[in-house]
Amino acid sequence: MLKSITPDCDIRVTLRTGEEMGGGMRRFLPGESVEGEVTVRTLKDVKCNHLWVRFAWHTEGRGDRDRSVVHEQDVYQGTLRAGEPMAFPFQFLAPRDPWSFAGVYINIVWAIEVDVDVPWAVNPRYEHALVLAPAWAR
Amino acid sequence: MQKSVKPALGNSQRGCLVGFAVVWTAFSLFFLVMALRDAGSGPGFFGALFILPFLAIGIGLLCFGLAPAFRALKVSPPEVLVTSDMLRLGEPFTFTLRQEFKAPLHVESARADLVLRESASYTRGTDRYTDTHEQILGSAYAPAREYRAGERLELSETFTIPANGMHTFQGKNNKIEYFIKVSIIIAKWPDVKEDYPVVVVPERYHALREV
Repeated sequence: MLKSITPDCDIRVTLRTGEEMGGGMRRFLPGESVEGEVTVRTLKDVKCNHLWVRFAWHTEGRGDRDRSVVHEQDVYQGTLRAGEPMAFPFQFLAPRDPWSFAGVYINIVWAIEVDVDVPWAVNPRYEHALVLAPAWAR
Repeated sequence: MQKSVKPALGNSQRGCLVGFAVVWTAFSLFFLVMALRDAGSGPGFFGALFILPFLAIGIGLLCFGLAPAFRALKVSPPEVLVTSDMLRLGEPFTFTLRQEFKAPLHVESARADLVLRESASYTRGTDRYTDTHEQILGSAYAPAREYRAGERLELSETFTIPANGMHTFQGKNNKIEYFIKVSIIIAKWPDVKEDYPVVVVPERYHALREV
């Protein structure tokens, strides 16, 4: 379980499926179910237009960023009560490709992205990286 | 049964390059002539000096674009055949290069490499750059020798896509691709340097075979 803390919002992502690789990183096979829970706690009442949970990949490295959202779920609309942790389960199906990759100039990073859509404010966001690759690939 | 593979830089792209080079060179020549008319005075001479590198770039692009056409006077276009151009990880495939000579030529070296290429494109200011990194996964060589007119150079090798490697990935700015890089160095004649793409799909060769 990892967490992101912004001044007003604490976001945690817990993954239930996948294989533990160490350092909080989990590995998923193409076609495997990615299941988990997003927990959000705010310091004050926050009106939330949408609480998006996305399963997406992006590139890192020398080149400009490529990005694609593969699945997206709007898990909550309403008010996040101050001090009350609220948990939202999610479930995605891991796609066939692209696999996670660490090269010389290019890295492909998969992540569960949480985006709290707050009106008239900067959205608190959090990314929880994971690995998508077959067991036999590097 | 082998399939023919087309080079990564096709004839239409080369045609566009030649067209661009012609326009570039024509403009450079025009400005050079205008500058040389005033060469008697100081600014005209320096203007001509300034334009010379632009003219050199235009001529260089023209030579690069027209090299295959010029080379074809003595060497037929290379023919590259592979057993499959849609490969799985761990899959072996046979590659064959055929190159026919129309005139006597001395080939100093002929080489084909299977490479994994990472291409990362980025923008800095108003310019666009692409950096590449290549990893050679297999090589085949043909020895240096003289070829008579009508003789054929044939290079064949079985390569294997690494079983624990990465599949082909083509993003807008980032690409991970497999190529067969062909390089034939010919004495006193334009060299053959072409890349032939092969696509690697995200599947394992042996896993499919067992099913």
